[in-house]
Amino acid sequence: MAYDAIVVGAGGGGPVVAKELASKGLNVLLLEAGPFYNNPEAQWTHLENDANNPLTGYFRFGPEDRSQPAWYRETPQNSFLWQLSGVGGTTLHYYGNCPRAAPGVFSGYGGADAAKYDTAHLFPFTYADLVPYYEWVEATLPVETAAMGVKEHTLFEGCIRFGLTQNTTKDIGTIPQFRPQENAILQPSGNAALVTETQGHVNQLAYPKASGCTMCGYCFQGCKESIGAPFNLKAKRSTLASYIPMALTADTWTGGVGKAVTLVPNAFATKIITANGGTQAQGVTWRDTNTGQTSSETAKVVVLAGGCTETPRLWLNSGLPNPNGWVGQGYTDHFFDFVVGVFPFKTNSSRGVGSSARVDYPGVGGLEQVGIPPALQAFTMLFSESGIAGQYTNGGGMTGPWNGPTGRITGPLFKRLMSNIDNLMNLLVLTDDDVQSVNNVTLSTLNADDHGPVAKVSFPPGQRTARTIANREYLAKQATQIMFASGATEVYRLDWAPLILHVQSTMRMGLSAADSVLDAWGQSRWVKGLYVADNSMLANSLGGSNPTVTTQALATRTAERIYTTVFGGEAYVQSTAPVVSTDDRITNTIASRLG
Amino acid sequence: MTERSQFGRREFFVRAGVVGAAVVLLDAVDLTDATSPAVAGVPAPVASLLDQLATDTINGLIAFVVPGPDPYSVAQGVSDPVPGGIDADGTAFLLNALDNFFPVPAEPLSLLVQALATGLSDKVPLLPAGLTLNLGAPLELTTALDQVLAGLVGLNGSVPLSEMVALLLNFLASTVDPASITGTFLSPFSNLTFAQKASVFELLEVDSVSVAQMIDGNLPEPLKDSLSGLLAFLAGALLEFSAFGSYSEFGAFDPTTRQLTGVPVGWRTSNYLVDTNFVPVEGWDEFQGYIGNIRQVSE
Repeated sequence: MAYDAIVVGAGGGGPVVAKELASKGLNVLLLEAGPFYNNPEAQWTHLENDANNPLTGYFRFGPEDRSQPAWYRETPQNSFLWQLSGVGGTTLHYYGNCPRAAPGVFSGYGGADAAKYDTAHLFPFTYADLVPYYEWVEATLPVETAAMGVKEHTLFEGCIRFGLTQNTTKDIGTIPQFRPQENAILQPSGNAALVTETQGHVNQLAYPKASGCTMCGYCFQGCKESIGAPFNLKAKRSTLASYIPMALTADTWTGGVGKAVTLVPNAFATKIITANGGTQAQGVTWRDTNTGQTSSETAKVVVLAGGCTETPRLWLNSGLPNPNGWVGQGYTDHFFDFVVGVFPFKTNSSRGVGSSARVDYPGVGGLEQVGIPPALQAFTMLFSESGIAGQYTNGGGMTGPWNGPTGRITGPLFKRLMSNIDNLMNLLVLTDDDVQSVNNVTLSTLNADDHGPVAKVSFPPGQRTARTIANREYLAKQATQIMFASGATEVYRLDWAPLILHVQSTMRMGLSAADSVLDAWGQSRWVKGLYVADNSMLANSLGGSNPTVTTQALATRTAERIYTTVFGGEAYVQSTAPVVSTDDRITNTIASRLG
Repeated sequence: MTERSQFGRREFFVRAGVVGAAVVLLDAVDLTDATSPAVAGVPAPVASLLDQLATDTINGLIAFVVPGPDPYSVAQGVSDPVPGGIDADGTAFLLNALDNFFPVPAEPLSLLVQALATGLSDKVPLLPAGLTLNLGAPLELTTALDQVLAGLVGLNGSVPLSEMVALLLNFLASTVDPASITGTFLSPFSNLTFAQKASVFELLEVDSVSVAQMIDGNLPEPLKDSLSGLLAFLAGALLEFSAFGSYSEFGAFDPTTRQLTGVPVGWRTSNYLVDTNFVPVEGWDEFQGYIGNIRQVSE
């Protein structure tokens, strides 16, 4: 066998497994369907449509050649499925938010509010079991307590007026509390965030006069800051800037033990190869998205990390066993809602970090502040399950402490709200939503593409559990009241249709073999040597916490497990300290490894 | 087949704005000229007509989502002196997205259009008295057009998605208000009032059952199971994409150089980047310290 391990997908989780195994001297092949942006400063603009148009942008789920259409997934309802291909995956445009999951979503939780959580779908181990892996990832990325800009300061003052206290720990507790985000974003240093400079006129903000976050407001378009900083020292720690450089230079920071990962972008996996009547993973077949050529490689271990939608698709297209029907089932999405406030003073909503303020509601979910540029801001107000406000309700049109009924905002009101983007404030509702098999990934009967039948992602409207709906209603009301407490004069609630961006649990691990695909270590129950290390492995929706860091902690744990049980190694996470992804040895080598 | 559905194809294309556009734009000779080149099997003058009709229809959609001072906004009764989506080149944005990149395969939508064009049921309200299926056009024109459209209906994926969407929006517009078939614009949808345009979206989003009932005869599988979901997705996508594109840099962007060619309309109207004269930044002087003076939380 050419490789010890093949990892399918270089998004939030795949590079974590690749880096861990490579650091121990294993031979790792890391495949990624999308492109490898090895020169972000040249390849990325800060422009919204150029970056984020889901069909044509450099950030989309599609091939490297932007003149070719995006890859299709069938979505038979009003919804928006938003994931990225490319090395870094959806962490390319994420906000770096790294809140740990609520302790209540793990087995053995003894809090007084234990019954508030999705107790039928807990993690098959305790929160304490995962903490060492959280610490390892938080030290590696690294994760930092976020600084404030004007919009965060405005929100926090509102939270205090509203009667909330500040959580100053890493863990979600038992009462609602606000806090700055724990972000995988390097702290502003030097002139960063103290100076305004425009594109093409960077002087004070050039590395090393500035390093870390410059509060440019373009998290979602990919982080290039500070200008001139080395590839692995870009402020936002997408896996492209953190784990990938570590994986590509694993021979340099491991005392000679590690082996650099072989990264193959533009490689869309089409089949998991198995042996022994389909009970043992053997390798992967993939298609080069530029040439159309097919290749295969074998390995002792295969790790699937293509994300909540594509991992089940690959599994099903490979004809792998699914005896309890849970492959692709139980898709959670935090059932987002969106609340927009209008302020009589400047909030600087479009400036600063994309999201560096949140409020946690244990057992219910959370709120996070979101700052966005105009095209996205406009999108958020034309996205709803409640029809068009004032015209038709589509069975929604809920009233409450917000202005008017929920629904898409149109006409003169829309133009007025959009006339001063920096007088707005946005709060995203993250619901602790229940695992339900009716929300799922199946194979489309309508369509196939070059990689086989495409995924069909179903979130049928009107089917959420009572707990999920009650949680969301509560959070929307809280968001509205906090907005008014922060100084808003008008507040609008959109009642979003499913915006499938925070994705979890479609190949869930679980306590029982009857309702899970993976065991407690992320190994598939029915195919040996086949693991999952992306958000689909999560047992539930984490209580509403943004999923990436939990997936990365689990991926670390799964990688360590693979190392000890398959390759005879010693466990190391709990007894050693990790190398940080900003380590000089990585910085000094990475430029020569980018190709 | 009912007597109504015998004329279904002609009536469908009247309702979809095609016949009206032909009356304005074409002569019979355009359709019968054997030397006229074809575009994917459709005579070039008809391909151009469908293209113009699609543009006219999407103009009406963009004006609905982001009104401005343009004639489409004025006609719908909701306009704004502040530039809107049409000024921001929103129409070109959406046409480009639909025709070149929207990965909704055309087939389910063309199946729907085909089914509507093949025969309309009695559930479709009658056309108003005085509105003939010829719309006053000479017989030679409508006869020649019929032949072209018969071929068009069978063409499935080769009709651009934007034209398919336009046919559907215009057909539904004619059921909301049949008087919209003739008016200022080629597109019946663009002839509707603001509230009537919302009703078209209500039909798409809420009432796919009614849409299905407009077809005389059964829907083919797999469309039958998927119709409700497809139309709901389409309704949502048309609205949210129109908003996104109209406030983006699309209309002031050179895709070859990937540079701005001017100030995007949406930036100006939303007062975005006013402080840097609409030039994107690499950083703001935004730092306000750490709440509670907590620079790093503890375990």
